[in-house]
Amino acid sequence: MAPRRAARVTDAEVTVDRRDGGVVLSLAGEVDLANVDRVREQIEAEVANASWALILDLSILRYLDSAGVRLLFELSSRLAERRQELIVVAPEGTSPRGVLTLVSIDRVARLTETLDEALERLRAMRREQSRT
Amino acid sequence: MSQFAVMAALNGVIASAYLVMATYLAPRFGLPAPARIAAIAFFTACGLTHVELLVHTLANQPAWMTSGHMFAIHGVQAAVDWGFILVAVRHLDIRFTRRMPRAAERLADALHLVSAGAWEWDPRRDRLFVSAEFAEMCGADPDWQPSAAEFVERCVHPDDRGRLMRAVASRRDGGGEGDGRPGEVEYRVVRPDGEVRTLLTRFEPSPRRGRRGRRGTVVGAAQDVTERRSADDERERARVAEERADREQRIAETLQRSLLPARLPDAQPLELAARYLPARAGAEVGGDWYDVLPLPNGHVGLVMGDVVGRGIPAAALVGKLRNGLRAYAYEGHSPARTLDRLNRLLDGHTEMATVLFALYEPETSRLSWVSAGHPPPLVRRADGTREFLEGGRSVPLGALGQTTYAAAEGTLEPGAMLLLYTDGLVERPGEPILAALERLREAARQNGSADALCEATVSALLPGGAGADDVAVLAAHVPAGTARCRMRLPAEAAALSDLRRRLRRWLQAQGVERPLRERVTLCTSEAASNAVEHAYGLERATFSVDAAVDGDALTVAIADGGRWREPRGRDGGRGTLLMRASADSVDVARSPEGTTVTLGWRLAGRRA
Repeated sequence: MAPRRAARVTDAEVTVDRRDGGVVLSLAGEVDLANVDRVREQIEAEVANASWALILDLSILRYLDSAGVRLLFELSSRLAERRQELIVVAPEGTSPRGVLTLVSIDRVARLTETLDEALERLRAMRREQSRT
Repeated sequence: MSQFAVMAALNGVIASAYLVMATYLAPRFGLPAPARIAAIAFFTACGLTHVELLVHTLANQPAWMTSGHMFAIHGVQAAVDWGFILVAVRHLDIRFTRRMPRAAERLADALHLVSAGAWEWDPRRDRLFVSAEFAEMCGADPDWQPSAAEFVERCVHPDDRGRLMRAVASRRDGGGEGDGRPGEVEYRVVRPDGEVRTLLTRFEPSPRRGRRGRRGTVVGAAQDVTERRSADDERERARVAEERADREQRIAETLQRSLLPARLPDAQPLELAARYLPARAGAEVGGDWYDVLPLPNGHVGLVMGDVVGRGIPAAALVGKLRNGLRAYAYEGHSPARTLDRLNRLLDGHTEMATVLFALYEPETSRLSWVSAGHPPPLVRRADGTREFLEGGRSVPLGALGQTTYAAAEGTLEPGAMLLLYTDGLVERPGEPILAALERLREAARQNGSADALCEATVSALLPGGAGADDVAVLAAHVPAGTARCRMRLPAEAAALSDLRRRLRRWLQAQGVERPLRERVTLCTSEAASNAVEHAYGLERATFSVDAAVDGDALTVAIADGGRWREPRGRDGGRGTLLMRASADSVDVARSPEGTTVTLGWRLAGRRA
């Protein structure tokens, strides 16, 4: 049996990828009351780098609770002020998807099944923008 | 009578006095041989002078003799000679009494019969006359006639000198500074060969008076009481040793009792019982101990140990091991790594112990254990079979400076019991250990509580109580049919991930499918987040989680010590929304003691 720390703070890892005028933030691990503030800092640092939209990829996120939900709502309103869009990747069947469906995240963000779908949405936004 | 006749008579007497001194006394002077010869020559010469004067006086009556003038000169010389003789004889008085005074001599003869020695001290001339027995007691020559100072210097133990001299001086003279009553003093003499003897001396001032009002002497009788005293000392030493042993026994017992749990902690879901049987009266306290550690991660550590040795040192070592083991276990080290570290803590030259450390994980029923030379634990399975856990064995702690312990793993399913014990339970003179283990296996046949198992095994193996060794027994029972997971956690956000991890494992062990598992975990974590938020600022606040499967009903109760408040603007009530949306039922019960949120689900495909 592997030694285990008696109390382990919730772990979450945020990785950043900038492409097509957008920022892709991938979250891994768990987001709850214990680490939501830390995750918020990491995400907000990237908001300024997004020109069209911010993609939050939760495909491999294990757990998201109401504190994380609140973070997503806050994020969407900040992006709305900048006329940017929040795209959340949360595949059906995952725990975060269930939570986000329950709180009707689709009212303030675009919910997609895959990252490709999200990137496609981003490119569509660029084309739309250049036409105007 | 003519003056010549007088002169002749005088000279004759002086001459004979000198001759007596030369022929009889001079050899008896305590002088070295050359001085003795010189003294004989001197007295002989003096005597011859007077003989010559006598002869001349009687025979010739020479002209110079006739003059009154010369007569006067001869008279003066005679007077000087007499003076000299008197001084010499006065001095020789000592030598006349060189032998024991007669009274003392009789006393010495009497004392000889009782192996006592006699002495007489003449303070005026400062001589100590001792009997042969007394001289022998002091390891001295029987003829030895020392001064008091010489005697004290040569014979008396330095620590006892002052006492002896004060005692004798205080009784020395009936009319002087002392009170003249008999005295008694005990002192040690050191013989030339270094042997120390203890003499008990009774003494009293002698009524005998010397010539010309000389002061009295002190007469004493001494007995060698060395053997008697050493027997007394031996008895005293034995008494002191016994007292110390009693005291040490009490200390060791107190120490040891303080190292055993006063009462077994709440280690849900385990039901626990323990026995400690001290060795039969007279034996020193042994080094057995047991411990139960409900760890912060919900696992339960069960410890049984036996330190080599007895009394205070053993109890002290138990303290070291018990606390070391607790510290490492609470830090999250596995049983094997805990024993590795504990082993390094021991002084391998003097300290050795056998330890069994088992770790039970309630969520999975997993049991892992390491045995450092300890007898194997007994498991009574839910189906009634009994087996000894033989794996995970290695050398005792302290046997090797650096060694790595390895754990064995098994399960302790609901309905099973685990029995840890020390060798006092199974080691009895005249019985092979395997036979005793077999009897232990038989004794654990009956099903029942942990307490019943302790009782059954102890009464079967030790019907007459503990033998020469202490016995400790610890039983842990996983109650059958309990599909329960109970935890108490600190009301901190940091505890949430631990809560979810344990709950998920338990749910998985209960066969709950993943989607429901995640919903139950989410709801429980949300309720716990609420408890954490409301406990903000409270010191050491905790909350408890009690999950149970009963038939087709799964319930999770989250209880805290705070007042439930509807969530503030934190998440716009989304936490409550998530709970209500994800659970089949949500019940919030508020009381002055705290708030309990009970979540319920129906499990599909199970009988009610």
